[in-house]
Amino acid sequence: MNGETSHAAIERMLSAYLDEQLTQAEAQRVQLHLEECASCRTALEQMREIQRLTAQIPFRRPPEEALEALEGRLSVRAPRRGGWALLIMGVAGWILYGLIVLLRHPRWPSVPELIAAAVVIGLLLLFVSVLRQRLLERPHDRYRKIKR
Amino acid sequence: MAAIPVAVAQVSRFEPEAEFAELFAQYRLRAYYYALQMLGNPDDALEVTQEAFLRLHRHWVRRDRSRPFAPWMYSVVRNLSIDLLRKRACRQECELEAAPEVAPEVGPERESQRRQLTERLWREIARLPEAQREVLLLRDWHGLSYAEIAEATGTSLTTVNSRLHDARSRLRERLRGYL
Repeated sequence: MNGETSHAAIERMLSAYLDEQLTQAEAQRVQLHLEECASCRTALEQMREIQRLTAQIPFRRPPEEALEALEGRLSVRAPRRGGWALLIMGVAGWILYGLIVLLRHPRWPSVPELIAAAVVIGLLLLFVSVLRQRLLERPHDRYRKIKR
Repeated sequence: MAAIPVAVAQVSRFEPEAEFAELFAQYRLRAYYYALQMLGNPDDALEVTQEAFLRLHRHWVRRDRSRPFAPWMYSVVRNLSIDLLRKRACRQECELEAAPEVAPEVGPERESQRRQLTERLWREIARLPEAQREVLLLRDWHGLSYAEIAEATGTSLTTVNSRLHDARSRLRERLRGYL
């Protein structure tokens, strides 16, 4: 490897050298080159300065109320999603179970079974109604982007 | 920014909600700042942070425990930010924090120079190609390791290394008279 090629190759390793990402042999090669190359020493120092300054860029902190609101919304919305998922799975399971029982032993259902069926059908109707309303209102809802 | 705290090992794995709440408290600002750096708009950044933690929570109990939390969180924030950028079709530049109180030992003139240099640096970082900018910020501002950056951005270690080198070289060129 001639001097010029070696210089270019070492220069490309400076960033990784700064972050201590090189193997021991590579790092030693860079160190030896740095001892005799002022241009690479300057480049390394400038990269180090860029790294130091970048770490200190002061991005504006969000207002404390916004962070608290974020926490509040998460604690409200996370269980709600879980609740919907459980409700849907429960109703689906109930319907499936009812159908299997009905198909295997066709008979007139008992009173508790009729009550259970009424609850399931009621929940299903409510769910379909809410879903339909959401879908119908969605294109015209001016506030849909506002977080609840 | 301070180094990323080690995963919350003290909280029992049998208390997933407590563990998640602890990680939310630790990482919410990091998620917010990363979204802000990508999007430039504080309201969008808050929206993305909220959606990111909702998604993380949804997969929390069934997550791969061998995977560290930080790269996972950063990748979710990144994907949501990219989606939002596509919808917005343009990226804003966020404003930096107002100048802090001047320390007596530094002096107002030196502080002003430092401030100018920081602002100039941020302008130049903002001009970098997207792929280089995110790798640079994840490494030098958020303090992620190369492996964590590779996982968060879905790239290889070699790509991370090469993008970092290109970003730093470009910044060095553009800030030649200032460093």
